[in-house]
This record gives sequence, structure tokens and C-alpha cells, in this order.
Amino acid sequence: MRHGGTGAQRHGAPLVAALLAMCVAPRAGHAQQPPIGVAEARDIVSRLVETYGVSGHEGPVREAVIKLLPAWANPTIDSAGNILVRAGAGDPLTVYVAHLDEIGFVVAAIRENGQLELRPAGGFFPSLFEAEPALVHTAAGIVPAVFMPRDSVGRSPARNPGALRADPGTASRAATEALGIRVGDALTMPKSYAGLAGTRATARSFDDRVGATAQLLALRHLDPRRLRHAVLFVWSTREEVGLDGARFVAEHVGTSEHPARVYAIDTFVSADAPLEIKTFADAPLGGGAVVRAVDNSSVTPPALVDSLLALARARHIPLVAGTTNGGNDGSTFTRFGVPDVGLGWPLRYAHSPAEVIDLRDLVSLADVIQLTAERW
Amino acid sequence: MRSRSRSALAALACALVAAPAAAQTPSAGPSLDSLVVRLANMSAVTGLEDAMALELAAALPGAVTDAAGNVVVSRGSGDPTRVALCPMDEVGYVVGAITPEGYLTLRRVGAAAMGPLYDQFLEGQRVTVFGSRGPLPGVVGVRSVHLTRGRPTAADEPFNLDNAYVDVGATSAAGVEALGVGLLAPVTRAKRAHRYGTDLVAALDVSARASCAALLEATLRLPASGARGTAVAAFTRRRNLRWDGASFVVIARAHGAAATDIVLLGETATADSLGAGAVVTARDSLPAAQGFQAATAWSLPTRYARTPVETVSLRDVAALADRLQAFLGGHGQ
Repeated sequence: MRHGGTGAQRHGAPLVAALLAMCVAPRAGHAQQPPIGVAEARDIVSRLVETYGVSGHEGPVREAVIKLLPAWANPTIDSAGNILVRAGAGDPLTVYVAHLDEIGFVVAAIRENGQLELRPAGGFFPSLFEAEPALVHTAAGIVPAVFMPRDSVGRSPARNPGALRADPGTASRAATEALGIRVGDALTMPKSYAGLAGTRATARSFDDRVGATAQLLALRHLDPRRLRHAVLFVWSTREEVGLDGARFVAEHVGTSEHPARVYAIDTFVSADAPLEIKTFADAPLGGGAVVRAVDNSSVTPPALVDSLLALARARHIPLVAGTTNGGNDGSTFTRFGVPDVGLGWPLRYAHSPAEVIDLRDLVSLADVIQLTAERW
Repeated sequence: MRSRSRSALAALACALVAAPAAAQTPSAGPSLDSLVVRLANMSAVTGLEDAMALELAAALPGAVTDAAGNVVVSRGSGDPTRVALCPMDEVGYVVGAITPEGYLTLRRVGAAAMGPLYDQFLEGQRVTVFGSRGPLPGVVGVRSVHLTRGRPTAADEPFNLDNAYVDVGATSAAGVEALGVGLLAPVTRAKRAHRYGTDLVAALDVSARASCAALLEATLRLPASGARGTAVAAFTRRRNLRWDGASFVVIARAHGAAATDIVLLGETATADSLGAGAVVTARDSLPAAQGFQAATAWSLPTRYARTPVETVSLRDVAALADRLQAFLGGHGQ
């Protein structure tokens, strides 16, 4: 991990100085916006994590995000299901992307006995879902079921249960279909938001509802008249199954509008947890947002990392830089010559039913998004 | 008296029942269904069943707490004595240690064999920690799947309790203490009964909890007098430590009774078919003052036993309540 205090001396000092001179001083003539607070962050993120949206089935989350946009925003939905909100005018365009979808399952087949064969959507440990309550998200509404325990255990079972099935409490395919369940429907565990001690909280699907919330908070607090160039905010689909929604945007915007930067607003999977190896990714919860400088899909140019850290430091916004595992939506833009700046927040227990965040990191992330949209 | 009893049950259901998890309407009566959900959503770690005992005692007019901590209610007098026993407790955990970073580690409570995956069902799930200032949410940590990639694969052994770190959001041992959590605080999975199908309910230990709900319902239906002999309903402690709460009731109130006059509830009976109303009976026994006391086990047909989605049918629970009412009322098994 690198803290903002050291990076500026190591890389790109002239660039940093120039950017700071341009960006740090507030422009006269505009009223100060109220700061983004923990209570507002909690209100929005709790709503979003209690909405369901397995990859390819993001409709409820999309609707929730649109309802939370500021009145001035004029969202459009592209044919990949992404939400796009444009603000400001002029070159260069910068793009922010947070994803709408969450991990889960899809009904692959319905057996003669009524049970559901499942296909995972996204990467996770199947054992975390074995013998847990389930919800089938059908066209007609939510149907409760259970993720079945493995058929036999024995004395020395493996941790991994293998392919999971679900039981909707029926005894035949016809009875299952009578509940409205069809092949292709999404399945999840039930989920809810719960506050932990201090500003910590737990829920499933903070990845990436925190990113979606941070973009909403930034949009609600920024003044579009203050923007010095065009900004495009994207809430993308199908990130967990291959970055599909973002790729669609990149292919359309990357060649026609030549963005200067894309910011992937997504989880920083943190090793700040009791079972993790701390050789990298050890961003502490509560320490602020994180520049996801290196991951499995992209490397952010060091000069950009350093200038961003310096800018945040000048505004007293907690921001550190680090490296973690995973891919991000911004990487779909790099083949169009667009630098990918990953921005995240430290998350414990990623892709589990028990993800944990610190709300202060969400506020910090939203502050960084607002700052970069207005000043960088 | 009957109407008073029904009122007591209704009051318990209205005052205490949490919102059911799902929307499907079961076939059994609403009060008993709600009571099943209510009891399934409660936690009662073996030896630490006080909260459950208080709630049951409050719901049962004339109930007493005996020297072993069981909640017992009697109706009628004289011989013969008929006893129905239902265990309140579950295999759970207490805080075994608090780390300097503010995590809690766990010690399992209860000697019953629960199978090699029982503790794995904690991994990455929400738990409730019962501190001195009330219940607190926490989670049991799990590795992030992303951070396992590109690293050597560990043996595919089940998660075990030595790797269970409960995260309540504290960042130090002092922070944990400030939350009212100390050593020996009870910990269980967060409870939320899950209704599915037409009349199914899933929860950890739901078979025992549903049996206790049926016994409570049956007891409340009994007239204060008029039945032949004495009817005793007991909600017992420490099933998972040699059934010693139930043994105390038998020693104190039914020593030497016929096996057919002692009904033992709360065990599971594996069944693929639920909802037919059947109640499985089997010969059983309890440790007694000397040797064992013969008894009869009445078990609900149960699917996915000893998992977080242990499942029973509310129709079967209603049938069990009817049968217990008949038994306690002196109309035989």
C-alpha cells in the first residue's frame, strides 16, 4: 500500500504541481455544496443492497438507481441495459463506471421432481450458499425456496458441495412451473443491511452497490454548472460475468468521444480480515477510498495515481493506493487508448453473504468522485 | 378457561411474533404457524436458555420453573401421570476469546454430535451475539474468493471452528467490551425462519422448535380439570448435555411411569414426504435416577435435518398439536 503522502515525491511531481495549481482553489461565484455525510450514504446504500440484481437480471437495481438520481439528471438506458447520465460539456470527456449486478445463480434446468439445477453467475465459494434460504426471481415475483444440502455427507466431506440445487417445496416439474419458475430465472439468498459497531455495516452485494451509491452521492452533491468538461456516469450491467455492459459502452464511446480517463468505481478487495494473507491488498477499513492501481485487468499509469493522491491530500480526503485481485469495468476502455483509473473502497469477505464495509470509506469515495469530476 | 387460554396464545403470537419471512399461506391455523416461526427465530444455547424459558413461562398460565430450570405446567391430579417433554435448547456457541483486533472466537456448547459440516454453516454468515446490553449482529469471516486466486489451493477440508472469527465491527478488544460483549456471551446464527412451498418452514433446529410450539398449543387447549389423572407439559433444558433437564422432570414427576405415558419431542425423523400429517413414534429412553426410563419419541417428519434449512410441514405440526392434546387430555396416544 502506498499512502498519498509519499507518492507525489516519487512520481510525476511537475504534473502534480500543475494540476494542483489548476484544481485546488475553488472557483468564485458558486455556493458551497453541503458535504456528503455518513447518514446519507447509509440511507442510499442500504436501499440498494436490499434490492436484487443478479448479472443479466439488473432491472430492480436499475430502477432503484434511477429513482435516486438528482432532479437535473437525464438518464438514458442503452441496449445493454446500462444507465448513462451525462453532465457538463466540452473536452475531454471523462467516464465513471460502477456496476449494477451482483453474484448469484441462474436456473439451468427443472428436474422431474421439481428441484432446480443451478448455474453460478459470477465467482464465489458454493459452500457459502449450501443449505441456506433461497429466493427465485421470476417474472411473476419472488418465490421462496432453499439451496439444498448435499445429498450425502459421510465422515470426511469436502468443503465444496459441488453443483448446487434448489428445492422450491414442490414434488414435480409441473408444480414448480405452476409457481412461475422458469429456466433462466435468477436465484439469490435473501439479504438485508445491518449496522455493526461504529460506522461499520454488513450486507451481501456491497460489491458493487457501494460503487453505485458513491456515484449517486457525487452526482447529488456536485453542481453540473461547475464542471469544466463533459462527464459520463455509467451504471453497468453484467460485470460479474465478463464486464459485458461496460464493454458495450467502451465500444461506442471509446472510438467516438475519445475519453481522457475512465474511472472504474468498484470494490477494493481488502486483506484487512482475519483469514487473509497480507502480502498485498491490505487496505484498512476506515482508512478511506483506495486507488486500485494494479489488479488482474489493468495498471493505472503511475503519474495519474500520484496526481490523484496529491489532489485528495490537498482537499483532506482520505485516499490511499494499493493493489488487489480481480478485474474492473474500466479495463474494457484501455484498448481504445483510455487510461483506466480504478477507484474503490476496502471490502472484507468479498462475494460472501457477510461482506463488511466502513461507511466512512464510502463517503471518502464519493468525495473523490465529486472532486475528480469537478476539478481533475 | 378455554377462551382464556386461546387469548394467551393469541397475545403471545401478536406481541412476540416477528414478521414471517415469506408470503405463502400455509394450511394450518395462523396462531400455531406464527408460534412456530417465533420459536424458530429465537436462540437458546444449551445451558443458556433463560430467554426462551421466560417467554414460554409467560405464555403458559400456571407454569413453574423447576430446580433444573425447566418450564413445567400441570393440569389435573392423581394417577396416571402423562408427561410430554420438549427441549428448548440448541447446539450453539459462546465467546471463547477476544483478539486484540476486536474479533471474537468461538467455543461450541453441547455434546451432541452434529455432523462434520455443522460449523461450516457458520462461515461467511451473519450471527447474533447476546451481549449484556442486548443482541448484536456480527458476521463470521471468510476469505475473499478474489484473494485466493493465483495462490496454492488449500486442502478442501470443511471450515472448522478454529477459523471462525466473529466480526462485530469493533477494532479492538476494548471496543468489544464497550459493546457489552465479554467471554462466554452466547452466539448463534442469526435466525430468520423461511417459509416456502405451500406449508413448509425452514430454520436451524426447526423440528424441535415446531414441536415445542405444538406442545404449547396443546397445553393451552387443555381444560384446567376434568381430564383423567395428571397431565404434565415440560419445556426442558440441556438436551444437548445428556437430556438432563428432561431427566429431572421424569425423576421428579413420572418415576416408573409406563413408556406410553412419557412422550419425548424434538428429535427429527428423516422423511422425503412432508405434510401428510404423520407423526413418527418410536421407543426411546431417558437417563433416569438409576438406569434409564423408557419413553416414546414423537418426531416430526423432517427434511434437511441439522442444517440451516431443516424443514418441517406446518400441517404436520398442527397434527402433532392435536395428538398431544389428546394424549395430555387422557385420550391415549
